[in-house]
Amino acid sequence: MLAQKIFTFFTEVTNRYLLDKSGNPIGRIFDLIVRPTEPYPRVISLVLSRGIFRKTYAVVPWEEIKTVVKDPDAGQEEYYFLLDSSALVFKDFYYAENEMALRKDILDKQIVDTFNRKVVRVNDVHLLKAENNLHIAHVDTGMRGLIRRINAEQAVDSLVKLFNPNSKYLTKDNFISWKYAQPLAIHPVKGTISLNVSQQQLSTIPPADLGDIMLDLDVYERGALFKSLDTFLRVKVLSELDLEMQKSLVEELDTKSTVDILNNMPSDRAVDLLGVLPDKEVDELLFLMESERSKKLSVLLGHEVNSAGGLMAAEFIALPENITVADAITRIREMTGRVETIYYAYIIDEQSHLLGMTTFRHLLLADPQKQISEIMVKRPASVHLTDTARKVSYLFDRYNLLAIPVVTHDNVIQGIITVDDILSHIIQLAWKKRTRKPKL
Amino acid sequence: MKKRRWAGIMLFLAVMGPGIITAIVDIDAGGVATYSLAGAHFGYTLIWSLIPITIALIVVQEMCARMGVITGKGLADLIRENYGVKITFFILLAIFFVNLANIISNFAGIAASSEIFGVKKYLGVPLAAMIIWLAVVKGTYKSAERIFLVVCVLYFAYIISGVLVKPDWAQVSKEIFIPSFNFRSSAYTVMLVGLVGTTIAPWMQFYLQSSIVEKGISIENYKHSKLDVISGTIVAKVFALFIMVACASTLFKNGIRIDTAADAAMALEPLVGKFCCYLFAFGLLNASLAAASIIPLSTTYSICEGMGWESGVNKRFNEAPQFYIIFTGLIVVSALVVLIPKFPLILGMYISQVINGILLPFLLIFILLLVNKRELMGGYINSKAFNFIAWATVVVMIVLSAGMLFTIF
Repeated sequence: MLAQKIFTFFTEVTNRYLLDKSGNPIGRIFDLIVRPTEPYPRVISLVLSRGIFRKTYAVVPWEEIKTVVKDPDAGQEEYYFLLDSSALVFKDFYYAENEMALRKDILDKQIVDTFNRKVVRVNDVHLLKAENNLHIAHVDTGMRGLIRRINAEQAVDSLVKLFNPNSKYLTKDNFISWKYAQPLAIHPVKGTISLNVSQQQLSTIPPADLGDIMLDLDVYERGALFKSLDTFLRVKVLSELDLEMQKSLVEELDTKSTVDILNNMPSDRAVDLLGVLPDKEVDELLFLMESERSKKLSVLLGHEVNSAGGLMAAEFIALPENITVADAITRIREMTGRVETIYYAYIIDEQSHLLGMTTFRHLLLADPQKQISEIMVKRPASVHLTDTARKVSYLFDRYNLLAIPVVTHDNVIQGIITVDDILSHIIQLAWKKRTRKPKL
Repeated sequence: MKKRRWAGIMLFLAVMGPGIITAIVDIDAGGVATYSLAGAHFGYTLIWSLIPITIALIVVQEMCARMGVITGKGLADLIRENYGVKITFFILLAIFFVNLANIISNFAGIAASSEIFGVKKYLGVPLAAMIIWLAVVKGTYKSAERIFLVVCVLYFAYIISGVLVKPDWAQVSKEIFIPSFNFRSSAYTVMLVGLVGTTIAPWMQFYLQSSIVEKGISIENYKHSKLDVISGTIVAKVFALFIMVACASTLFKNGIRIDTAADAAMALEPLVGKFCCYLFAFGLLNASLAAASIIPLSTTYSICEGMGWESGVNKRFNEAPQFYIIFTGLIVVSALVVLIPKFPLILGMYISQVINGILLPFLLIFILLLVNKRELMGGYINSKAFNFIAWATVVVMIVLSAGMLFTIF
């Protein structure tokens, strides 16, 4: 058995010519077209090119090509065209409709490395030879790939060997398995990025990292990637970005998708987002939303941004005073999907006056048969709608709270502010300088 | 109505920055030297050239600004994605050496001007290098932009010194609109070519486009950005005019020959007094410092962007090693070179101008090809008329660069 090379690089393939049966070159191999729906996409056709300044292209199906290993030691391959080469038509352009052209869509482009969770640029593509087929195995993002592209691999290799035969450069490859490579080619009509169906790796990235990745993309890739996510992920990612960015992303979407996002966001974040959108758009969005939700958001929108009213969310756990601890726990269990925090529950009367609060911990440890009014903390710390963020943060610190209720002058509860809301507010003040320094 | 105008002005101020900073920092140590020499040796007879130069610069810069706004990508990115890594590599390699030479000449400017103020260059240059490194690595983009806008205001030193020397304004306003060709004198032609060469530098295109991308200027605000480019370039060339006028109405009148910008500052002292000399030297220091901060940063970002390396001052060293090595290397090497006694600076500048002359035509052609790609620019490709002006500019630039290469050898 001859030691046959089972891997090759895009650069190596595209350095070769396609030959006709008698061994004369028909054209240079310029591009490879793959079908992206497979887990390790197979090359389905070659693109040939002719000419230097005015290139013309012809697409040749892989089935009509025979690969021959001429010199097994070097592993150099030759590609022969099985049919009559005069039938090939060379045109000014080529395109891959539902497929992916490696040079056009992958090479030199940015992709998301979903394993290391960052945006990288592709230097070369690593191809696997299996049963006369070529499959994408890895993308190469390393220095060697870069040097291979400028045809200096051998020169640099021998130079490095000369100075340091044990150099890491010679053995270390910066490969990313295709499984973790999310291309960012934007569909020209749909304006979205086709997510690898078989992989869905993008949804495994924590939203905070996904937010960072978004910042590394250009405006169009960012918009397209955002559009490609589902509502759930969109909401998560938005909460990691600053308002300006949120605004620009949401403006790319149609109204219905924006309404979906607003319906699924915590009300305080939804209000922040509505606050930066144009008034006309806000009216339209509120009109299209579920009426209950829209009423709630309209009220919240009326508050000053930096007042307690502007910071609060309207989703919290409210319990009547005349139930038992066991009942309370059941009710909380039913509510958890829709509230900001489950650690605190607020006890109210029929007119929503704030009577007391209790923590989940107290509920768990208390005798289940006891009345809730017996175990609650009476007259808990609260803030008024118009109180400043400064006062709110002071109270958080003083009472070591995780959340604080917001009330009107008549002590009617309106919402709660959670510690993460006030924290991000304080961090904004403390870190006036931007945490992320842009490139020049 | 009034309210709308205000909103427009506020928007312009928000968008302003990249265009004006690029155009003004373009008057770096080399620029100041060229304008001073042109004024000192040829009087008012070359000031007319500033008008066509301004137009050419606006044409080129506007295209880059437009590409930045429409594609949201830097120039190095666009070249790589459209023309492959090989071309990108060689362009960036050339950029590296041209810009290195540029940075060296600006450190030389720092050395010369600090000596006028009585600070030895062995103290001034390392101090400046340290300040620049720290300001860029530890600063933020917002604060850096503010500093550079202030720096732009400091260029008024040249306006003041231009007024102080009491030039003959009637003659200036006449000469600026009436070209007085004098091509029989080869020195005149060389100077003219030099003026054009110093004005359109490759780093400007990369810097302008990236900083417009970084500001995230949207298509709706593009007209403000265009205004920023146009007004910035005009203001910069007004500064250039005052430098030329100041030297023409003093040094040229008295027949004093100079070799460098620092010579010009010192020659001003006996003629118009110490204050004017200091103003001129301060202008040179300011210009050199600004360029010595922006050019290394812009070079490093372009290279990392094109090669796909991690970049950014917010990254740690082991996250973005290439970024820190290139940036620090550029500054350290340039500062050291200036400190070498008897280093052939003039020769270095010539070499840099040669690579510059070779590189620029290529770069301009790439810019024109890119800006006319419909799949990138959509409806924002050049119009036929604009393309005509742009290609004409490029051809003139190529002829002049070739001419400059020819005159150097």
